[in-house]
Amino acid sequence: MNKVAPLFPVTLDASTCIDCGACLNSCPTGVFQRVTQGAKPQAVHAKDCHVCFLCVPDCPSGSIMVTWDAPNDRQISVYDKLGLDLNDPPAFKPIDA
Amino acid sequence: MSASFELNESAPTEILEADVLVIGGGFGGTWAALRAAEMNARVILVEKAYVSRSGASTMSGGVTTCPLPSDDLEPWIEEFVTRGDYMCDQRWTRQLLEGQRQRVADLQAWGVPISKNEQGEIRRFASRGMVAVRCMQYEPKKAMEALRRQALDKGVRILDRYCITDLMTSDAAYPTQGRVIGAFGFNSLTGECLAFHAKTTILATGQISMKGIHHVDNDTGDGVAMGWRVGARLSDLEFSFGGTFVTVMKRYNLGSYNVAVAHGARLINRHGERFMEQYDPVRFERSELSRVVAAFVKELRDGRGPVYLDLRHCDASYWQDLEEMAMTSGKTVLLSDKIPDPKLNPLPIEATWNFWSGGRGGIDINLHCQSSTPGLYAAGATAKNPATGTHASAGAPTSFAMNSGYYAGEHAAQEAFKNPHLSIPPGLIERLRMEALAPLRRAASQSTADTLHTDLAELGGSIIENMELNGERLEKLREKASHIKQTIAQTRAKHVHDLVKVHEARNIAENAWLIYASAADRTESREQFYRADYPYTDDEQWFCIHSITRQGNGHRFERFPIELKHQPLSKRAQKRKALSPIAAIFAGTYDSKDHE
Repeated sequence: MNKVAPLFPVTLDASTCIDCGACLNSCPTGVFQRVTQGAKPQAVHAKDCHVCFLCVPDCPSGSIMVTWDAPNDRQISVYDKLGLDLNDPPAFKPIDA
Repeated sequence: MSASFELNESAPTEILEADVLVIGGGFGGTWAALRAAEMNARVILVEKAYVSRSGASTMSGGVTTCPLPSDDLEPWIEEFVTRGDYMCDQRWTRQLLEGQRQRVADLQAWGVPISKNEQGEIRRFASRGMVAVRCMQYEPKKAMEALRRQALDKGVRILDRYCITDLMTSDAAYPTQGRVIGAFGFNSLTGECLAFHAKTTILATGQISMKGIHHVDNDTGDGVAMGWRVGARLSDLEFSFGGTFVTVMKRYNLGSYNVAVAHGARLINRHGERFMEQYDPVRFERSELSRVVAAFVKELRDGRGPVYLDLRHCDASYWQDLEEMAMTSGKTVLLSDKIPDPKLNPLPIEATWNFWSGGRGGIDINLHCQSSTPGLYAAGATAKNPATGTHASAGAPTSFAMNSGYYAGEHAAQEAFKNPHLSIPPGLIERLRMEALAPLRRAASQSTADTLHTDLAELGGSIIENMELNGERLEKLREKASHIKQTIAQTRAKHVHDLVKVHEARNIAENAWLIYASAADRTESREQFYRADYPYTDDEQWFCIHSITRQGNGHRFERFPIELKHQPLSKRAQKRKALSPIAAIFAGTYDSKDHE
């Protein structure tokens, strides 16, 4: 199965959201907002997600997904800068029991 | 797409009255508010996000210093003082540890989950960087939830989602010759403005934390910037450079580096060598973080990277706590199927090095948490931590936040009872309102709130560059920070959410400029502060507290000698001029006996 990387680190599934508003408080950066008064919360500022996962257990209907897989220009590994491959680890010696 | 509430710009600004205003709702601020309310003060606690879901406290590693009533505190105090190279106020060290006994008892009484042994006692472990001092693991999110409940129970008025832009002063001057009399801010959802008129004000907005291009800038140093603008003295800002190990740990949700190494985890290079053995044969990976990070960089520079965290050595309680404590993210990603089993395979890990002060630099405070500006107090990582000197062991920043909050709340309340309200100077609120909302009224600009934050995140460069500071580079960095500050003053905020980010960018840029300026002024290297062009520790010039204060449109530096003869522990031998620990690690000449 081809998996497409998500555009943003956080998504809120409107079809399962029960509109309890918990996410409005749980996000430190204010990702979730009601676009108009009375509307269900949406991940309006999804690009500001810091991938802290605070909202995930706070959502009673499990409607919020957070992932590290979205691109983030501000998160570049020093290993990328140095061109070091992390996918091919050396075979480390087993440790003593 | 954005929230579309109309901002009523002509609505008058409401003024809320309080004895004590607390800005920032982490451990420092919420404990300050709670204590001030216990003293019967009218307290307002204002928070940019939501108290219990914001800032560094909720997201901290869940480790705090844990002295119990049965402990003799003298060896603990001695270890704090000597490991911090005596660069502290020893009265503060004692106050911190005595207070922390009670803070731990409070957390227990409030039912905060704390890691316990089979006998039901708190399970303590050696704090990273220490031998005698013990710390404990607890759930920081639950601790913040408990603190919020306690504060509300005691009558604290909590206002979530208010972004404070500036302090108010009795003479409407910045820097002030008068007193701080509260603050001004706006609601981060609606833009509604509020003025908070208070007899005393406590800044507790956390630290500046930008971990270079590896990480987002999630702690924006608002309090230090606001303190600077009113003229409060700031100390030891150059010690804001710091490092940690995060990315891989967060990604795999294996808890904090400190906890992992306390339970036996090791750092190894690509050849499987435990490289910390050559630097610290007693504490290994539990050595001072600056030394471990420098050693990490040395491994990479010398072609022995990647570096791996070897969790195969961890005892069973480490894995048990990970499951049971569940930390902040529940069990949502815990030991997911994305990675090789960390119980069997070493995991790649990387260090960061940028602004990560943890209270090593900040607003200068006395034993009562008063700043040099009348009416203004500071707590938590907004303040320069006077208790721990150059080395803050694992658990020390959170215990300092909790206790400086407690003492700030107590003394700010006492002072408020003695002082009448000073009136708000005519025109001040209107001026602050205009300045706060100005970015919304600007014409479209090339820069946006997001480009500002990207520029700021890239300021320090990678860990390899950022650990090689020198005068020339610091000058360039200061120029860059100044340039970004000028750009910020012309950047349009498209909506209120952006407005918060523009103000945050302004505060980050101001912190960055101040840190680079302080670093350029310090012509030596000492513990975690390292300059390639001044690699020696120079006691004769720099065994002091180093301060910067705003003066008109400029600034002045001061050095305050540390007078050991008046302190209980005074037997520190003056250091001979020698390479600092980081300098020696990079030079390949590090001998652990020279740096004990």
